[in-house]
Amino acid sequence: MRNTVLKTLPLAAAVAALVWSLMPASEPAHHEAAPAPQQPQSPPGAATSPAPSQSAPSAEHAPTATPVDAEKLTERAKQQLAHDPAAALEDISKADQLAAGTQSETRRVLEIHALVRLGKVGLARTLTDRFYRTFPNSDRAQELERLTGYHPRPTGP
Amino acid sequence: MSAAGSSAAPTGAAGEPAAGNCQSPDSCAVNAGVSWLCKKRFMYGVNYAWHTFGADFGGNEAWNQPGIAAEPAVESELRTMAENGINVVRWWLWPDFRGDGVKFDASDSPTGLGGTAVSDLARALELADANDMYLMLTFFSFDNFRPTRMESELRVRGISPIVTDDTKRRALIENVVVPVARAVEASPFKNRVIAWDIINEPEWAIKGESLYGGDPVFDPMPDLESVTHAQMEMFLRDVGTALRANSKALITVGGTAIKWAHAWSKLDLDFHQFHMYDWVNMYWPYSKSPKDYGLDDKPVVMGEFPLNGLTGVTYSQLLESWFGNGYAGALGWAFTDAMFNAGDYAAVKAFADAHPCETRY
Repeated sequence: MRNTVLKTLPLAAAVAALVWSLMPASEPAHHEAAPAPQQPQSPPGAATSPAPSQSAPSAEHAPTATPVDAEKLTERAKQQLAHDPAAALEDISKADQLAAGTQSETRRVLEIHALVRLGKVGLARTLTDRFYRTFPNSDRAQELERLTGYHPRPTGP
Repeated sequence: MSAAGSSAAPTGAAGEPAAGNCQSPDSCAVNAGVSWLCKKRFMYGVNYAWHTFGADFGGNEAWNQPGIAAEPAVESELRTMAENGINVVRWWLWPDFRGDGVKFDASDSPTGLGGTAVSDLARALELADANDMYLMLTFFSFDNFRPTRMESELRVRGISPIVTDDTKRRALIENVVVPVARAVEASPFKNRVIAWDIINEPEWAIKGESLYGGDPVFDPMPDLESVTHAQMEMFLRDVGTALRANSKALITVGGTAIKWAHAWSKLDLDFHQFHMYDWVNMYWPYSKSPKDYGLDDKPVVMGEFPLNGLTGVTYSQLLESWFGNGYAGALGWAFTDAMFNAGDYAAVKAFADAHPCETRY
């Protein structure tokens, strides 16, 4: 499954971004500890992205262990972020589907972290721009600005 | 021509020596620095980067936003920077075309400077002189590559159709870039412009493969109208050539990250500039020297990094590392960004106080 996610990541992420753009900002903020940047061994990127795993699904992905609510999927995504950002992104997408109609500040932050770790910094910055406008009072904004280097731009008079 | 790594300098307003004619030894030279007015210094500064985004130079009448000549707060903000040891200010001219500073015809071709652009430019130079500071003026930004759109009933033109059209690109350079350069050269405070920064982080608007150095494929922001590396390089080369012909200020490009270290290696630039945020530090750590990254042909300035440090690395740690590790300068982000700057400049001032000679031109 991760193989599929990696192959289709740009499209999936773009779709996620589009879905997000159409969703109302209604969910209260959840302020949780930021995942600290680590020092991966090699830079990600289109030419150097982590190789898709050919092995069997991890324990977290075994059907019997699949969380059925958005909160648990989000929590698992957070745990997977550092070592398997593609799987984290997949869980975030599932959580978004289960929590249709509601926004999740936490999931959006995790999504941006995951994209950065996958070398998709351009998309992460575009989502950071949208994050600033969707959650204008978020205390996660500084974390994302420091991560992506995308600074809030004033819009309108 | 490259002046940054040597002791060459342009003729100054107050009888400064001409390029290549620095007579007296520089008593305060640093091992790695950018040379200006016969002084080789660690370029120490901050990104302003704007008082009013897109309106500082020309104003934005439709949104009731004056240019800086009519903004008294700019004077006090620059004074605050100076009082805290800032010697160089990176200041953005037209990160997009929402303001009145650049005029267009019906075909969206640039026709000249508009609004209060000229008087705002003069005021910026005057204030820089009054505060004994130097300006790095950033013409454009990746933001310019957003598609032409309406924002609050204002038509904001994208730059991509200009960059990729020979006639419009020439119009932008002849009608906008050159008049700005000439206005600075005509000013009694012309030496207050230490450098032209052609564009901020153009890599975010480039799609496809890099032309040089085995750099990774580009990773554009999907909401921008991206161009190829060759198209962007041609644009930057044309702007740089015009600036070289009409100004003695140094020239650089606000490179996104050392990830694309060779992107502008074929341009006639005086110093490299890269930016540093957590995503960069994950893979291209701040603690490595320019030589570690294969950058030994020109000075390397860190043109952006969070004023309150990276995750787990303080401002002071960054500065001491770069100062001792062969970098030629550092300019934090940003004076007017409340998320990185709560008005506490203690660390900024402390570094300047610890290196008073090496950080001042």
